[in-house]
Amino acid sequence: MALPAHLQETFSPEEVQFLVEEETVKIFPRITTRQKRRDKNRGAYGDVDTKWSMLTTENDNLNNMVAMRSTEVKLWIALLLKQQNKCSIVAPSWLTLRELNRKIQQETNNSDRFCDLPWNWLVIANVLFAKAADDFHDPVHELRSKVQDLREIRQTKVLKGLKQLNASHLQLDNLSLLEINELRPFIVRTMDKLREIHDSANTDGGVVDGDEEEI
Amino acid sequence: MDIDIDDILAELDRDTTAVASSSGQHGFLDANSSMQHVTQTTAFDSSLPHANNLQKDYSPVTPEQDYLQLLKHWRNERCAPELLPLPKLLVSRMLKRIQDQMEHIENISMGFLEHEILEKDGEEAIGQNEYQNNALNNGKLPLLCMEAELERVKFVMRSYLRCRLNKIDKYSLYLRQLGDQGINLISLDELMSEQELKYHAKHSVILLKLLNNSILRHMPPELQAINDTEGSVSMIEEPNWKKFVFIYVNGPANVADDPQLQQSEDGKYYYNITIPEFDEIVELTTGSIYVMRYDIVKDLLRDGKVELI
Repeated sequence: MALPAHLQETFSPEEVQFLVEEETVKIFPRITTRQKRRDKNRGAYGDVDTKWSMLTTENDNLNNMVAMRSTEVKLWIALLLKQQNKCSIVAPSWLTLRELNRKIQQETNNSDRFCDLPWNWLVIANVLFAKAADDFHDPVHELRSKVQDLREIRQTKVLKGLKQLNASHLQLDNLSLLEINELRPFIVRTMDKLREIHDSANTDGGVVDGDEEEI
Repeated sequence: MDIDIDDILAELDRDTTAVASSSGQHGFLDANSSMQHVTQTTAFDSSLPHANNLQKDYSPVTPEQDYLQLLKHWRNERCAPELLPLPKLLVSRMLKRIQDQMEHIENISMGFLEHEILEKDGEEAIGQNEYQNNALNNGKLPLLCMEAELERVKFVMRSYLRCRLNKIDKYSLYLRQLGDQGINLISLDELMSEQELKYHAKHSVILLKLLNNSILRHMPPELQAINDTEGSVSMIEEPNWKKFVFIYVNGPANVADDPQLQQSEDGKYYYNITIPEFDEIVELTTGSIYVMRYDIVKDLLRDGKVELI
């Protein structure tokens, strides 16, 4: 087969991370790429400076970086720069102790729905903890434990929600991409089977039902 | 008394000369007539396609937009049970850009090589030394990013095409039947690219040969057909139209010009869809996630109003 079996009905976690890496984040560059208006060195080497000319993103932000002035780039570029020690990544606003505490409060208060975290919260948190742990204002181990708390609360809610599986549809607002991705094979298969059972019951023994549907 | 002047401001923001010249006069009107003006524009908006809506349809083609579109197609293709039509123009644009970028990177690297040779010759002044290093450091970094990005784009493209080939393998008999009948809604050349059509034709020939030579020869003639639908089990595997998929309802590009969209009492927009087997009516609110049967959301997916995730 052209596509490996484990990828045929869902995304691998690495692919989910790939998708999340296309989001923009704020960074503080440590290099300056903005050209001075009057370049004194317009000599033999004036044209050496390589410009960023990207395929998939705006070049302006990258070509106008000024050290310690915040700008927005795609996450994967930020991680590349971070690896070279050329920038520090600004954590998103929801990734602070105060915000996370508020979210945990919301989660515990509303037992029937998920609170509105961004669709990529789990991946972003994990990536930033791994690659940019020194850029947080709050101590990282506390942030980690808060994220873990959120994850566990949401997982118990998901387990409760699985009792609701039926043959028609489900609504799962604010569930993040990674959480969807780990549930996908199970939920889809179960609901498909439930639907098959429902359909066969209707076609075989449900003559009356069939008549009603035609009307 | 609050006067809502948002749409007047929007008109001023829009840089179309025709509109700007007419709205420029509204800038200094007194409250009364500007109120009238507001009601006029809203009435006008609902009755006629406004310049705004026209602009929406012709959004300029930019590399960023194309890449986002490609990602969306990739995600949909991975999750959908059927083979979706190939966005040919998009793919050809993307491939051309990948080619150009490769050449561009090569050219830059050539420049670096020349530069290093110059350095070895010791032709640089001492005063320029610092600038030199700086420029080189900055120069290597964009190169690194460009190469990484090229790899990323290629990965998406490759994954997308492989996923399609996988489906072509799986539904090859079904696709052949579509091609033979000629009564369907969509022709095969719309569905697949030239290379995919070629692959489909050749691959099914090879497979048929194998089956014919190994097994089917020894069968009685009425059982030799590979695509028998009359028997106890249909041999043609169709896509599972009723498969459950996760959808994200992103709504139309412009709320005003979508007839299917309805507004609920709490100001949220939703689509009404019915599930025939259950006689249920479900409201798909924009911005939320559902697990839904594929055949129900197929039309919404075609129009780009929902995405698969």
